[in-house]
Amino acid sequence: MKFRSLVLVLVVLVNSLSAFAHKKEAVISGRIFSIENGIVEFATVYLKNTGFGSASNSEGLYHIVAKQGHYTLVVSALGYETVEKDLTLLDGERIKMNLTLIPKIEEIEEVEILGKAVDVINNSAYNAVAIDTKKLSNTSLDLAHILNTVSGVRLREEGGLGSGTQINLNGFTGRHIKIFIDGVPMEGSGSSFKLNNIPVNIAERIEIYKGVVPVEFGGDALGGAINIVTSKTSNTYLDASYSYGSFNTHKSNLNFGYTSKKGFILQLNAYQNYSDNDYKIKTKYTDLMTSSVSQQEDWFRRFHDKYHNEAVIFQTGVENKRWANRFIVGLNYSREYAQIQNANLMTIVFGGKYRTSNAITPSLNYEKKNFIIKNLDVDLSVRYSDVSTNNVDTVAREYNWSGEYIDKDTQGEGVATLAEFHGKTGYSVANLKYRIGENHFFSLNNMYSHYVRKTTNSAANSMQSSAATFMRRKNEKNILGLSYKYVHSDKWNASLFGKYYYTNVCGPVNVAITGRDQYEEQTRNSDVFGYGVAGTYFFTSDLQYKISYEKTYRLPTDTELFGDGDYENGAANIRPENSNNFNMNLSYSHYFDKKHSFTIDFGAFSRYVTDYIIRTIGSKGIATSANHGKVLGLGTDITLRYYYKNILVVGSNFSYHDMRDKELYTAIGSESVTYNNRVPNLPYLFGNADASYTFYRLFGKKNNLTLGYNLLFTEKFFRSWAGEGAKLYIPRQMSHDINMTYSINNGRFNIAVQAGNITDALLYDNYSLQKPGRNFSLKFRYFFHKQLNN
Amino acid sequence: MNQKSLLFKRLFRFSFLIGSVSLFSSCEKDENISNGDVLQSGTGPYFIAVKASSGTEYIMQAESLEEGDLNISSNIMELPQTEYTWIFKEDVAIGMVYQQQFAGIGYGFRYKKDSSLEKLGEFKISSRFSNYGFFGSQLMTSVAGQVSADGTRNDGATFSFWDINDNSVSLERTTTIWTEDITSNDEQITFAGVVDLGNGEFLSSMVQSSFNQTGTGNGSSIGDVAFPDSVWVAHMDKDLKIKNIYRDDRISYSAGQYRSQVFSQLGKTDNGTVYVFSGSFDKNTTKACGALRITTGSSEFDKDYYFNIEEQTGGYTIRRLWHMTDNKFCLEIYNDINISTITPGHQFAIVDMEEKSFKWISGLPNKSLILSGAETGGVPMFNDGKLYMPITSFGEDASIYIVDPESAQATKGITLKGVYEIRTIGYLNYK
Repeated sequence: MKFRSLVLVLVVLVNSLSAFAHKKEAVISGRIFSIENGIVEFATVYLKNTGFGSASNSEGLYHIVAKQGHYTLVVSALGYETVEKDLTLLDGERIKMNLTLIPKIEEIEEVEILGKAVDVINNSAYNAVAIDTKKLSNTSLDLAHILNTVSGVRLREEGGLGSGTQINLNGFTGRHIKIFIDGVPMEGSGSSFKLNNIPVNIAERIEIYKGVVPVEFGGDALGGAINIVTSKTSNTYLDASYSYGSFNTHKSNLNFGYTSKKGFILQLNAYQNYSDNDYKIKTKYTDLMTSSVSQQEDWFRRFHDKYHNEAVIFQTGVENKRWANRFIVGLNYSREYAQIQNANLMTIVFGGKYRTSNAITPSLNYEKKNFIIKNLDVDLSVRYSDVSTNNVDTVAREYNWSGEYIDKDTQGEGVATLAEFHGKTGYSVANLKYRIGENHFFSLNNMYSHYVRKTTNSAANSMQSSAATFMRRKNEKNILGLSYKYVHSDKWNASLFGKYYYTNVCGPVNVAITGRDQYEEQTRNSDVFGYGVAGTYFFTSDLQYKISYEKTYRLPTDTELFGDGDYENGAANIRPENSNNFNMNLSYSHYFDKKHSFTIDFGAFSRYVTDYIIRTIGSKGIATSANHGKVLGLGTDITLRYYYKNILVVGSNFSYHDMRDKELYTAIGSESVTYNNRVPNLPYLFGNADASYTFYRLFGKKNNLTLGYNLLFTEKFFRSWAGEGAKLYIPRQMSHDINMTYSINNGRFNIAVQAGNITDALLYDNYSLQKPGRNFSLKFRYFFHKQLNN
Repeated sequence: MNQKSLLFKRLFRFSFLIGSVSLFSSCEKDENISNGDVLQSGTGPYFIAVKASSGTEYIMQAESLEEGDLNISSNIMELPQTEYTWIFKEDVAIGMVYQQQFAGIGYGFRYKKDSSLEKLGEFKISSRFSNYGFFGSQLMTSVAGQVSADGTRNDGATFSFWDINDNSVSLERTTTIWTEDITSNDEQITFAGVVDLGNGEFLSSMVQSSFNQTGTGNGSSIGDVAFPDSVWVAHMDKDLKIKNIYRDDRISYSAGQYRSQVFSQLGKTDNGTVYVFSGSFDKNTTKACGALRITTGSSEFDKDYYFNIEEQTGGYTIRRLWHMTDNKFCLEIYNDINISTITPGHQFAIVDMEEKSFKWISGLPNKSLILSGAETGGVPMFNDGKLYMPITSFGEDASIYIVDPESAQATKGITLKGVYEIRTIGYLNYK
């Protein structure tokens, strides 16, 4: 019933979009160039004293639709002189006008900054946010921590650098959110290559799609998708940085790109993270002689939580050839070493357990515009990852939080293991885009993935070996998506899309009829069809309305089906989750007096999930996943930002995500005591606030100093259901970070100082797992950039 | 205005801004980080460990099991881990937990004069346990299949002895014995059951097996059994010296199994006779499910005693069993004749081992409707002349049935709203 009324509302709204329309309008379009450096992205182009305007895209192109009349065309961009040009538009006329901007480095302070985010993603019909990570290049944050500042997103960490992390996005968490790198799923690329260990400098921007995901991302994303877009610039650059921080944390990154005039591309990205993670924690102490746990908590320094990972990404290829706009082959190698300090209860401490992981990933990307026929663009990506993970627990000792130990007669702090797992994942993503005229856009996307996991080291697993241990786990998925987008004008556009999901899984199933467990390899198929619509309407160039709906599905992951061999158990009978996701956004941005600018973004969503897969601790204490009835979520994300020139930026976002159990009966048919309870172990009320102030021309004409402040807030939430009388909770978090960046010679040399959790608050994202206290870091960065003049 | 003073003015403005932001955020310093891990006050001698349908486990306290329905929300404590095993003695309740790859944090509680509970303390269980019981004033646990420190052998059986003190539960000692040497036939031994003989010595059943199971898994220490038609019981002292081995060929080994867990099938009556049951779990055994006995002080099985239980059940075998009173035991019997480690046992009977009498318990829901006790929970309790059986059936909340030991007739007692499964019930006595 609810679903039907939702669809009805949607149809009415989409129709209402088309009601505003039609009059014979003039179109002015063109490209914005810089006098020295090729195109200018994200320049603001508008007709003075009117609501008609747009921003140049990543190719420098802009496009404005207006009524006939005399206008002044204004083009402004950060760091450039503003250009004004008078023109007259006639009814139905199409004008092409390219403009060239002159850099204005010395007068940077006076340049207006756009309150309205100038990104195409932000202006699309989807409930999406894009972050320009280039602006954050001087921070020592990884991608996960940058996501943590985005509205509606909350990162949950189990500890310090390299620890387990989960992303919460509009009421969804973990595997309900798919993560992509340049449109290819990140899943299967190994723990050595994850959001929380990839430095910010790798990405050009991060796109966050909440609830509704374009078909270009061939993923079964139930709650949304995050896409990391790496640099595809045709420039020569060198970005090298090193940071040192508390807990003996060293991070370095070298990012080098070269493009020859003939179009030969060479890119090398190497990075490293290292930390002792020896931060102090407050916990109970175990007496080694008696195994008694103290009643009182005390402060201890972590002593077995060293983490390091290293990665090299090498890419080479060509661009602007007759047969390819871009053809790149790449090879990634990454590895990781992680000591395991504690169990999922911090009281339980280890001193010898560790995990290692290695991943090697060859990849290929082919892009061609006007492929065979005009207006047909093709983008093909293929990636293969070979990941091996080794869990080691062979120390015959028992440790306590003081770092003391006693010898034991037997191996293993938990159950002795040397388990080694081998995962091989292949992805191929093909995307075809076809445009008919200026108004009709078609997109066809197919994503095929193939995953096989095997326990490889038989000797290492002799302690608990069985036939099942060595049986393969295979997971194949194919997702085919087709979308049609109608762009009526700059005023409004709408999209309609469908996705066909197919999965084939194969793994051991207990088939014992008599005697002890007996496993046999079994295969299962399932397929399902999902669909959605999205539309946007600009009431004025300042006020945008977005509406979108998608019936999403998520097929169970290989880990949910077959476990990870350590803490997670398989559940081969998990059904795909499905959700009805509805989003509405209203954003208003305005700038006045050439000095002040502000943005208000209000988003509301509803999610109705059935067969929700939640991660629980199953029998034998191993985490497992189960389908859990129905959940209805209603939520809102609000963002406010104010800019004073580009000197002062103050912003805040606030999220309230109310996800509630709507299943009247338990799985066994008894009346549920958790009906209408809030879904536990999920942050539901959180927000951020930030402020930054830049002093220009400080101790030098080309030198700037920026001071910044960030606040993160998450309300207390319970670990289990209120109706059960839950008592364990994750306390309220309030963390304050400050930072200072001094950049010399227009950003060629940069020094950044950061202080995190300055009040030294006890922070927890997960029950009992304490995060680091007050910490500092210092980062040096050298950045050289030379643009090719195309 | 010169540049410097402008700078300071701006710095001031900025710091004011930060100040005001942090003001609204307040500086709440969370001194108490127990995060809800506290025991709330309740009343009543009955200690009920329950599991909700979400899998979370709680402790509840009750004045009566016969009347006054309870709601899970009135629990007195949420437990941080799951699959706790509870064991009771007089005024003390001990909860043990072990999680694969991780150790567990166990809890001890004491029943106070005012009929509330107090926490005796927490203790870390680093050796996994598959077998446990009281031995003298101590709690003893054991686990087999342990790997030696140098990694050369994996036939270790590790025993831990825990003291229950006034304000803590503490490990007195941990001893590992290498079991391949015990019977010298190149097989390892898994111990199942602890029968305290009261003289500083105990009996424990021995399951001899190879180190791994062929074609199957689950991390159990019991591998392929070469001699499934014999039973062995070890008589050991507190230093784990084997004083005698009882051996017989009339029944199969005495132990039940659920995945990696081992169930005790030994029981001592009030007069000291030890009954050794065999559920004939191994599929290769030719022996019927039955029982032998060891009379007080005897160094061998009673040659004149054999009770063929399978004859009484009509082919079904025993999963778990609990001593009630005198010579009476409650038997948990598998639902199917052909069984695997995960087959549930939802049929119950009361046997008098001396008289060799057998009575099915009546008045319970049909075996196919019962969900509780499919794993390690659903453990009944005998108290004050009655057997209290926790039962959850499809479409219902967990209930406690009260069984009369003479008539074997069950009647429904209290219901626990919102409880998926009662894991264990204990009756605590203020000392």
